[in-house]
Amino acid sequence: MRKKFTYQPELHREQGLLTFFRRPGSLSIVIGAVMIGLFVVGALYGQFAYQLNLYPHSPTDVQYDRFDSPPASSFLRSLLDRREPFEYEFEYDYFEPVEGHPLGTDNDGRDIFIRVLNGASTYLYAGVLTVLISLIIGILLGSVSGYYRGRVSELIASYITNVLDAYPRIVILIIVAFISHFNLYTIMITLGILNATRIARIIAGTIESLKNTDFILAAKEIGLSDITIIGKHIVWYNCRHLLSIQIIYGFASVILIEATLSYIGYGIGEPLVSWGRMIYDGSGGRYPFNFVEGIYWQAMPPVIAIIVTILGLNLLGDGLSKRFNVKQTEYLL
Amino acid sequence: MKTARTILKEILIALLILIGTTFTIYLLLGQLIYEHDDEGVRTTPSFISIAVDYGDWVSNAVVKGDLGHSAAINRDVSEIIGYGFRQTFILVIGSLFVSVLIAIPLGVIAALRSNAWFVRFIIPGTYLFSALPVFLLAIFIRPFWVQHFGILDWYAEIPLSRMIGYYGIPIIILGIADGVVGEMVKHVREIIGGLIRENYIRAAIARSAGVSKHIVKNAMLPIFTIITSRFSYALGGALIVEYIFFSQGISIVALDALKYRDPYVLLAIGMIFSLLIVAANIINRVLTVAVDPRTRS
Repeated sequence: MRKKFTYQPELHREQGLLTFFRRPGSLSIVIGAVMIGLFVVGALYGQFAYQLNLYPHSPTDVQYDRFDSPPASSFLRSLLDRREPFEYEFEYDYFEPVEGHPLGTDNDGRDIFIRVLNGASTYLYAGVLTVLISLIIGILLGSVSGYYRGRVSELIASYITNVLDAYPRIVILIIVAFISHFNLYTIMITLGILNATRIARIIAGTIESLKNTDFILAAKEIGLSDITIIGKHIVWYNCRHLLSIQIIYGFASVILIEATLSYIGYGIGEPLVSWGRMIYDGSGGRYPFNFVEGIYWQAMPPVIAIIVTILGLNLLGDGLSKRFNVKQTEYLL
Repeated sequence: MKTARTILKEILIALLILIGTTFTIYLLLGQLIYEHDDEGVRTTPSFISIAVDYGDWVSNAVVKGDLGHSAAINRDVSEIIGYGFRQTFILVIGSLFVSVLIAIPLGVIAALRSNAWFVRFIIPGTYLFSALPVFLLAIFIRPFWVQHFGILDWYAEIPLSRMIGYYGIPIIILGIADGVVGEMVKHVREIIGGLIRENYIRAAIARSAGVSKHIVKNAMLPIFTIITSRFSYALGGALIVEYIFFSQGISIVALDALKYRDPYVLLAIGMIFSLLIVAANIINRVLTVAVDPRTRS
């Protein structure tokens, strides 16, 4: 019979690798952290490789032809080759993995390898931005509605939280994307505001349960300001385990929602790379996935990138929630 | 009497929330409409004129049931919306049903048999599926769906098996993807796992009395709360599934309306969606108040 895992506080005193793996959720944390490490390294490479001469193509470079363009051998031939102006856009070519393009190029003749990694950097940037906004707004709303209970400010804060929860998210985001001409900042700020409600609820709940405990009353008694009490004693010491998980899930939601929005054509705008847009282009739009026609290499890299990143974030969040949650230690992995 | 008053209060709050959401959508959509001033310059309408318009729209909608007129298609909005909405509703309800059907047994098994070897694979297994966004799963399954269940001729007699697959596969995708099942399994496991360690359950086990009745009674409300909280996500996912699988539906209507700068259609869609989300919350709250006497304060 399998031995039941129990949480043993005395194990904390030993430091070492074995101790780390014996504590709950460690396997998820390690696997998730490796995946997210890949994501971050890839994002940095995708952003800086071209500038640092590590990789010959930039994400917006257009490769015009598979082979070197043939020299115009004669005047007659150049006359025969002359095409109508509108045909020139078909001169560049998409092609499968070859030397110099490890993952091939897309419909517009751009290198897929560097585009996937550059997309990771877009999501890293957008995710950090969104998470910061949702943290700021969530902490403000939650602390106002929890700490100043029974006043007008509390009513307003909880009203805003409830209204933000009742939005059909995708409709709002599509409208905002359209109005802002697919501006990264506007979309991400909106998403951050919509994501803030979970954080606000967590903080309001924690404040509600801790409000009349001795240490908060004592902190009030010795004259600490409200900002210190909320910021240090409630948010930092008593909410950080819950907030860290919310940060990870918020980050995952940025990738999921942005990819979905770009798939239906309402994501961030062009010079920035979006995995959802790449999948849309590579899978033949709304029509069946184009494995059959043989351009499998276009859509698969971003698909794999999304799966790896989202799985990694989920595993990391789950492992952290197990590591922090002392009450519920029975479940391994 | 106390229960009735609490329920009335909930409904009042819900109405206020509904006003908040629709007014924000109205403000956003105001940016879509251009007005021409005396010199013919295009400007966006001012806040006050938008607020006045909003008042008109609300009073029309409440008194006459008139949601406005679509200039682009030259039809009433309620007509356009009603056409596509039934499908969305089937998708959402069906997908919630599917995810409950998968998640609750898995969660209960994971909580009750927490030491069994297969339980260790339940949670990572659900992640594998539910880590995928809806559209990814959908585009991988769509060719198969088109080949086996796609309906080419609506006037021909369609066999029932084909019809079930035609709606069933999108419903299953919507029920599984987007982290729904993974999150539900986790919550159900926490709820049941917390319950079976309560003293009264342990006492009942010690007395060899029936436990399942108590577990069902106490776990029902939190699980229902989780289902209603998934409702808004399911609505969002239904739009994507409709966009990928079906040629008609509320999402295609919404995207077309955005393209043709047709604000009233979008406004009506947004309003119906937030109405549904709020209604789900009200049902949840009312049920909680009616069942659980501790919440009547």
